[in-house]
Amino acid sequence: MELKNSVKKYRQIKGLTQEELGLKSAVSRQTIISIERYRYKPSLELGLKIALALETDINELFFLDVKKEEKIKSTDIKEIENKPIKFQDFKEKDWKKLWVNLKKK
Amino acid sequence: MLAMSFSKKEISISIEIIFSILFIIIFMPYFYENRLNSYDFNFIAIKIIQIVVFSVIYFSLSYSILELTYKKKIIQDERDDLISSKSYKLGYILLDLGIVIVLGHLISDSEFQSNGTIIFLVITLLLAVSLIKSLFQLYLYKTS
Repeated sequence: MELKNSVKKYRQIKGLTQEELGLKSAVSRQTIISIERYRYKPSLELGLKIALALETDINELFFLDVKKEEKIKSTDIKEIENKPIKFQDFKEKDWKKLWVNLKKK
Repeated sequence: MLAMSFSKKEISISIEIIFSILFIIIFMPYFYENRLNSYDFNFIAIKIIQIVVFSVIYFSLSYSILELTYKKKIIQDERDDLISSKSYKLGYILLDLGIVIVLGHLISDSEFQSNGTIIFLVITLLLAVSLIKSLFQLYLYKTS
């Protein structure tokens, strides 16, 4: 899970420049640039200061990128599902599944 | 052009890097040539005065030019603290290793135990550590 943010989006909505937001939250313009490019993960204190400067909720401004992890998990599950089961690994439910399939045929 | 791609902090680090390079070019040949000699105090005192005068002129000139070019004050924030702590950590590790190597070098051979060698090795170590630390700091400012 990666920490992402919508600082750029909310800053543009508010019509602020990076310099102005930096001054409002007592950091340099370079720090704002780094945060917007996800190169620097700010502390909770700085996150709250930026949220205050942008008059937004911190949860809307900073969030964990869960999608990436979910994508990996879902592809893993699909791969497992598509993998043929070996005879020695057969469990009771697999036997039942096989029996139902054979019956259908 | 330089002002567009470098911030005030990055330029002030570059000033330190340039100082180290100039020091290597101007003063290091003298210490290298006399590394096997023993200095007397008067001789080394003149060199120290030269270094101090050079440093004062260099830093006052370069920082005045920097202040005139960039009138905005440098805002020190948590990112700066993080970068400087990372670079100083690297500097201390290198200094520790360097001291061990220099001491080992001095103890291993009695030929190198003149004060000329000690001065040369200590100055080389300090310059190398300072240069690597500043370069690493600049790298962190550009990438993080």
